Amino acid sequence: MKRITIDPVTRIEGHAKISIFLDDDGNVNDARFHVTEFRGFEAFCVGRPLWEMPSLTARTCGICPVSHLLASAKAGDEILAVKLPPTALKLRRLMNLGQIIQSHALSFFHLSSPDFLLGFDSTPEKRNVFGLMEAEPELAKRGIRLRKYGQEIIAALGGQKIHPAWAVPGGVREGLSEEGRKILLESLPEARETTFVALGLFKKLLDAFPREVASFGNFPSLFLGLVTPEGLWEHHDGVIRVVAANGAIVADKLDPTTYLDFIGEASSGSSYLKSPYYRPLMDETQTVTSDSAGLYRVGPLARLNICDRVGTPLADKELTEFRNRVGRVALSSFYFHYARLIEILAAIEAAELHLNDPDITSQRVRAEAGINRERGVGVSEAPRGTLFHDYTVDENGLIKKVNMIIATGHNNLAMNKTVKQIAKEFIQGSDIQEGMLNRVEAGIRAYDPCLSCSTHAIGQMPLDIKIFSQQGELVKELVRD
Amino acid sequence: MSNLLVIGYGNPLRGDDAVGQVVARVLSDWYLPNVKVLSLHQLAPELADDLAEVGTVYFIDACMDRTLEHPRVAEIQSGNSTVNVSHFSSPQDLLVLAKQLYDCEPRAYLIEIPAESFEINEGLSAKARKGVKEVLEYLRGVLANNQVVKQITMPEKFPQDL
Repeated sequence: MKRITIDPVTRIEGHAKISIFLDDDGNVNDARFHVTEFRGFEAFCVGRPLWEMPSLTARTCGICPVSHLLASAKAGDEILAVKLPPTALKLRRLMNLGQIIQSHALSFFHLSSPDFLLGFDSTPEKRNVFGLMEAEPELAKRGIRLRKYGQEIIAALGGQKIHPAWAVPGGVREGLSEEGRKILLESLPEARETTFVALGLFKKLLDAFPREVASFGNFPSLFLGLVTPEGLWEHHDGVIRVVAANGAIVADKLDPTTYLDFIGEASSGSSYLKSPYYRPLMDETQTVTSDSAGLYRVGPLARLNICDRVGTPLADKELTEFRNRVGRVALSSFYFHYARLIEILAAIEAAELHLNDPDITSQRVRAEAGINRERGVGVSEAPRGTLFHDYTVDENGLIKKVNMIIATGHNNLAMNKTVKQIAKEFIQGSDIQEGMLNRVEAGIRAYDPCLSCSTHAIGQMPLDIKIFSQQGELVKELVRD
Repeated sequence: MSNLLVIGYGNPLRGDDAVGQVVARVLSDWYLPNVKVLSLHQLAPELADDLAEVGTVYFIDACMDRTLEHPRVAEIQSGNSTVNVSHFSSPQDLLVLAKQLYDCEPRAYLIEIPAESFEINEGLSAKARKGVKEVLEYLRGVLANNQVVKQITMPEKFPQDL
């Protein structure tokens, strides 16, 4: 048996490596995705006041602060047992839309489009955002400005871009100013135009990657996420829906706060990332693997697969075309990229509706209350998928217990299965070419995982691939700086 | 428009990794005219826009080399970066972006502050606090030389709670 290690995986958030095991004939026998960063954050929260949790959890990560902020504030709402002022709810939703825009823009334009536009087999010196700038400078600029637009929505509400301590249990600290609304509306058409440019480009490129579409996580699975009670696309409230690969609704209108009834979490000795699974389809006496029936996917692709429609005209038109191309339920994780672009469009349309709502500048944005429940669960759709914050507090509102299921965790089993599928398709023997390994990495990047949530930025991340013989002897090593 | 940009960055829940943000928060309280101060978890590509609008930029980060005893200041240049950009960027990455996208090349310096611990924790070690103070003294001199600010009062205490 030979073993190939990709450590660390580049252009994802956090620390991870991929191990690929070859048999004696050089065929891929198995492949695994490991997360090597330990978070330990849940224990850190114990003893903190409930009111501090949104700003504290927002600081766990430079990528997903808004997602944690909103899920945490929602858990706080449950504990206070309050009903939010309508404007507070709209403002929180607007901020989440800004988060979806900025996060998806970064993923598509800066992390993944070099693969599509410059080719998976192009040299690593060129296949990055700098190569993209040389080849497509206008597109690169547009990508930066689109991300900036999402950040501006967040800044207009939260006051600072990275860790806005703005959402609190019971509402938000401040409303949107009239000037802020005007500025965001003025910039919106350019953001929409850029999204159409990217969609047009990606649709043209799609036919050039049949092998990648066929092997980048192309397998039947469940898809899970929030929808409105009417079955429309949802990103902040609503109910949980689970859809099968054939489009059948497996479960619908599940109360998100009862997530422990339908989501289990398995641990693995080889990764710090837990493996959530859908409990009703699992024999929980058996080991959870990437072949388990309880495997499900979350995130942009899942959200489009589970909803009946988006509910806004431009995104619905794109969703119809998407489904005409790939089927009612898209099974290949390669389509996560496509789904991200449709979600950016949906987010821009939804943001425009909020910004034109006369109530959006109301300053009645916070309900005050004391501790009225011992436990609260907050659920929201982060750009990467469904995010759960589950808090238990004492009578003074001090945190006794925290459980968080981060969006990336839900996709752990699917990412493992994806790595194995790509490795089997592209790798044979010890003559490992750069393009083969980049495809394995790109399979993970399709999910846009955020593994760090507290990791120090380490700057440049080299790619180290080691191939070992069955006896553990190093046969070959490739290092990419 | 600001002619000087200061970006302090790091994870405020990772012990001494917060030093860049601590410096930035103190500088923000000085309300310096013509100086834009950003306190960030990490560097991201859209900052290239901000770099394109200033003549000089200071990046302030924690130093992972634990043998460093005093802050280190080095002028940095964009060069030919070929790194794989992640969700975060390096100062050099941002300089490349600013140059290639906007044909702007601000003078850039990286200030690294000695650090001891990057474990999950709030608050700075004594070594990091000393480094923060030294950097603030240094920046006071730089800003005075730039004739941006005539007089700056050093704070008695540094913010721990970010």
